[in-house]
Amino acid sequence: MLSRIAFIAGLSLCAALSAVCTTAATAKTHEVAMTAVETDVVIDGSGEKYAAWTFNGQMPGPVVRVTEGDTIKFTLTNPATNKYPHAMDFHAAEIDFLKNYRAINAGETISYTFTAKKPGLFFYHCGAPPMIQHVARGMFGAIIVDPKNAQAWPKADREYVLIQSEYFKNPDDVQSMFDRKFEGIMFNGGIFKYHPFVTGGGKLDAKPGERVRVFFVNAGPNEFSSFHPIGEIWDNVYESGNPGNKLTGVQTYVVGPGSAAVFDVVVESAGAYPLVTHSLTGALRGAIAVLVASPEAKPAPLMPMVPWASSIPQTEITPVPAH
Amino acid sequence: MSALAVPVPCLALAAAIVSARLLLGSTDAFSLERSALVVSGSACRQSHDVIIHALERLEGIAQVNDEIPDHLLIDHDGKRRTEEELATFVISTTHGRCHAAVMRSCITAPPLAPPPKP
Repeated sequence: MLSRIAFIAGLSLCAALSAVCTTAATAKTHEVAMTAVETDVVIDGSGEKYAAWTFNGQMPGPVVRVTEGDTIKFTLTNPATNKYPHAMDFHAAEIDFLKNYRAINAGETISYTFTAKKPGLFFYHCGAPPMIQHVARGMFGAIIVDPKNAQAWPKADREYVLIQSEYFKNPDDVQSMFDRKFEGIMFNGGIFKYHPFVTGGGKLDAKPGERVRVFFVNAGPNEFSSFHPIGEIWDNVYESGNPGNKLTGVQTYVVGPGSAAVFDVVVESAGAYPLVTHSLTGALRGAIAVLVASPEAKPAPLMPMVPWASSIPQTEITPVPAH
Repeated sequence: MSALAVPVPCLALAAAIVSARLLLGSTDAFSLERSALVVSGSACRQSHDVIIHALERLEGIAQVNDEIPDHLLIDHDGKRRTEEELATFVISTTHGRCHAAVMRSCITAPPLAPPPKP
């Protein structure tokens, strides 16, 4: 009898605090493991390679996606084969920096746990010294914390993650990074990666009428991005990717290094809509992603062409007859 | 099976490939470029396959892509043929019924200046 009363009382409590109970019941725990990998990656359409430092061998690192209230148990491994210390700083976490974001040497592992309390789009990056070099060489990525209430913003028909970063030709020249002497600006680790008019370039796809949601992160390490859709207007911009921070009808929005925003655009008709940083020294040195709207658009991954494997022949074309 | 026990047809095929390569000449290192042409005119759509086939038969062409509406993206050896020559070729292939021009716009990437000499 007592247990029956307790059961009914429990039900009543849950009914009264339904939101809390639902949260407790649906929040998940994610085991996220990453490895620091010092490796070459392709950074342009001609197949040029760059001596990068990466998470999991790719630049940017993998997209982590959880829901508001979820717990992340994170582990970073720095293999003994590496040469340098590495670390991980998640902007989505609210935890002690000293304990959790310290650099670990090659051959070591670090683990920590955090709860993604606030919805949004957040940067993650290596914080080992000199941090400017670790970010410039590719140790960055995005974590999406979807809002617990999916109705908090309109449903997107198509989603892309774009991460802007600077390209320094000599990855060992830290002074050039402090002096802001970048040679190019990349989206998702490539110069003109989504520019179909450039050798080896691809594109982003959508269908006319679709709501395209761009999760945009600026990894820096130094330059601001002035993100603009040529031929369109952002229908909505969400600062830090939080549905509560909503702007409407925005032509250009500035995203600083280490920050992020979510951009929604409904492409009204078929055609091409380049997404650029309107800081033109950056756009014309690599930061152009062309969104092509066509009824035939196929589904695409969140970060297309990562890693970048060039589809064009690198060694041979139609032979020339001997004379 | 020893390494020498290769079927005769395989050896013949390999010899034929080597001979053909010698006859055709070596494929020198090349500078692969992508040229974007904007095409316009009612005949472009009708002559679409003819244009692409003709381009692909040209020396130094790696591939022709038509994924962007009203455009041709041509990967080619830039030392062999300019993009203006490719546009002229498309026009002449269709006897002027399909107009082609080099695509230039605000997102055209400029050739970057080489670093100054010390």
